[in-house]
Amino acid sequence: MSICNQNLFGYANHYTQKELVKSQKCVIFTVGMGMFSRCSTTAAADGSKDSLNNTQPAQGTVVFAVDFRFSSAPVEENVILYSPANIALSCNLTSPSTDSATVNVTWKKDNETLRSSSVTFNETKHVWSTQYINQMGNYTCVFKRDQEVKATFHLQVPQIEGKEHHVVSYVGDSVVLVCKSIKYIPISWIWYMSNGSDQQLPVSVQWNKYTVDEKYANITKLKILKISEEDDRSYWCQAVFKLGESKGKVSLKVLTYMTPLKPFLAIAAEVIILVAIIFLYEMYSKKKQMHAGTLRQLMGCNLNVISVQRKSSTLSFINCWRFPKLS
Amino acid sequence: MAAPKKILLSSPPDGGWGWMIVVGCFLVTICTRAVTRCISIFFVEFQTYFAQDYARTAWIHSIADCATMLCAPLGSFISNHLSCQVGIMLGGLLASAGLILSSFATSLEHLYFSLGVLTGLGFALCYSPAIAMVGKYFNKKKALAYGIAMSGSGIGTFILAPVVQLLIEQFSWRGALLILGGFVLNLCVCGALMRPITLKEDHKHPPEFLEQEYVSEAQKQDLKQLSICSPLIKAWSHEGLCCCSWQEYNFLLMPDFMVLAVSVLFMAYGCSPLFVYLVPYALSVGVSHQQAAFLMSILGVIDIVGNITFGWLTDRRCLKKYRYICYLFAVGMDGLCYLFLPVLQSFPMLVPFSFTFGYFDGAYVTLIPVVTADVVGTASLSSALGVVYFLHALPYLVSPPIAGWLVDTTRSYTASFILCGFSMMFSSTLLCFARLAKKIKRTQLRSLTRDTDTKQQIWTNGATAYSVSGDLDQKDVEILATEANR
Repeated sequence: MSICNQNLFGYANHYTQKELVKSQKCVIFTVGMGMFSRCSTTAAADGSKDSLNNTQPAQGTVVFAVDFRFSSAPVEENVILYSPANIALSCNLTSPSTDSATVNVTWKKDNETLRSSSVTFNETKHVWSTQYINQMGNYTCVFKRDQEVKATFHLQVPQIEGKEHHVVSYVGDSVVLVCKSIKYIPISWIWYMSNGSDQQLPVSVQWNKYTVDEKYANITKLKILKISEEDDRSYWCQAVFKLGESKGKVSLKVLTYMTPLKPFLAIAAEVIILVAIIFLYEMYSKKKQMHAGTLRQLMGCNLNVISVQRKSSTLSFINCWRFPKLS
Repeated sequence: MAAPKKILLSSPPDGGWGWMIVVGCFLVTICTRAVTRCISIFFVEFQTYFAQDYARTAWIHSIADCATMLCAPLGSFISNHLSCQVGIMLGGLLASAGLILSSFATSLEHLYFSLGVLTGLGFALCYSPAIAMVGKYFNKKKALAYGIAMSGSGIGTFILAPVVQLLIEQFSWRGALLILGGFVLNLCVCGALMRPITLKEDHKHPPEFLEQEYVSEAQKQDLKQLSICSPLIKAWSHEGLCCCSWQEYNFLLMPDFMVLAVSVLFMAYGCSPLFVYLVPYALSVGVSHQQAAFLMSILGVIDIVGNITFGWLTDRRCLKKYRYICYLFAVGMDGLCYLFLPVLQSFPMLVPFSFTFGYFDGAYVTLIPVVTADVVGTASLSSALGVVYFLHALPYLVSPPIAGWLVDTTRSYTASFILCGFSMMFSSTLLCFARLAKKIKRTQLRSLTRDTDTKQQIWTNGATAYSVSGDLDQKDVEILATEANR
């Protein structure tokens, strides 16, 4: 039995994530910044489509332990379980040895007190442990004397992240909704869609409307064709793991082509107005220069007008010598 | 005969409407280069929607970038023969049409055409004419004007990237492409700002023409500016229809320009892989994702700083004569940074690298049009810039894949970085040797020949000849001074 033990004294009120990942025949788990591995003789079932009954729990037990004193703040820990395993949750309370008052200990699962015989109590070290946990939930150990301290272990399956922002698409277009589970490979994926009321209907792979692409086991893509206004709703992708399921949410927003057309027309109008202003200004300034220039010339130059008859028109050239010609 | 639209000026105004041209060019750089970079933000959406992998989606960006550079000569050709305003407005309409068509795309191939070819072609029609226009309006403050104009790509990427992300979240990629198409329509506004200008120095001609046929010569020059080759010019020059286009491109045979062209090829080969491979390299030496993204941000921001400050610096009187050397120094420094890069294996060492590389990258980007203008003169600047940007296209296309292949075969980034470093240093040393050779030749020639430059007639010749501003006197004095000192 190997012990994964970490003294979390001082890290009050923060989440520490411990993950249990199966790889070949060894179990590798990370605790904070340390990584421990323990190899077992049972074969792991990674991402294959075995039924849940065939998987065997690993030999030996993994212990997740918390150390604290009476003065520490409540501790929370996230434990992510990918496949069935023997887990022992251990809370170690150190109190000064001079303290002889009795300590009251309770374990709770989801706020219900556990009365099972698998809870043990070690006087010298005040260790409690439970074994053979196969159910997800929140397990809390509570020490009570005159004050109360507790630690909570959140046992859960890997969480799927959907997309926080809407996916935008247009009427008549098609869209692809993607859900990923990067580190853990689920057994299968199921898609649901919302129904207006809080119900969730499974998305049936109808001809011509919905296609599910599962090229890779850890990415699922739902392609929706010929989108209409009623497709503007939320979609859930549910990943099935051996120990349970988790859902991610993706919402679709459907727009008409008029929506981006309005900013486009606004910019086009601005361009036309600016071009018109620039051309008008250019014509105005040319007229002004022509008047001013001719006036200046007439006043300051030795005018020498040469007229040349060229076909049907007359070209007039004004030579203005303001400096002596260089020969 | 229609009244002429052109005002003949003795020298570039260096201000006034020139600053509006700079604003216009700044907007053109935002709408072309920054929008091209932001296309890659759409890739995740395209991958999901069309169920394709990254490699096929990334072609869109390559096609757009390549089309912009490959068709740059076409852009300068159109703006020379029609007018800069018409060319840029046409380009704006084309690019906008490409983006709007993309918003209705049903397949990736549709996107290759509309977002890659059409939009890239539209951008090409705008980019080099706008840059050439800045060169015509500025002389003393040319590098600063270019610095401000070219900083548009950095600032534009900085602003547009989160905006495009927001548009995609609000309107999905179709709506975002539609609105981006509207944004790119602003290129038409920039085109309207590009008021044409004709400089007297474009009309330098040998003395015999002046005395006998000055009327026809002026007409010839004016017509050349306004329209395609007309029978009138054929009659005067007896050279046929190809005289115009040949005269536009005769800078191609200048040895200075040929040296510049070859060096641009090597420089463009070296500069592009860094932006693609800096983040993977940083991740491979143990830098975290946020730190790698921070390195890219430093590169972007310092690029902008380098644009403007180097432009201002090289406009100072003391450095103006040495602009060519500043350019090759900036390219050489970037090459040197590349050679040091494989040695830098941690984040605190990569930060100064980002600062240095970003600064000199912005620096030489500002100086490319300036150096080109110095080599070919302002008359052919538009066509020359078209050719220079055309020469960027092929290295941009082949360099990242070759670097990627080197990384895959040698399993480290050292080989590709060293190759790029040597490529840029070769470009820099080539320019250095060319300048040395020219100096030696000039000192030899100076002892043999006298100066027989054409004497500039001070009188202006045209259907309307008058000064635009009241300080023609001062400008004429300056011209006299420069003529006397030649």
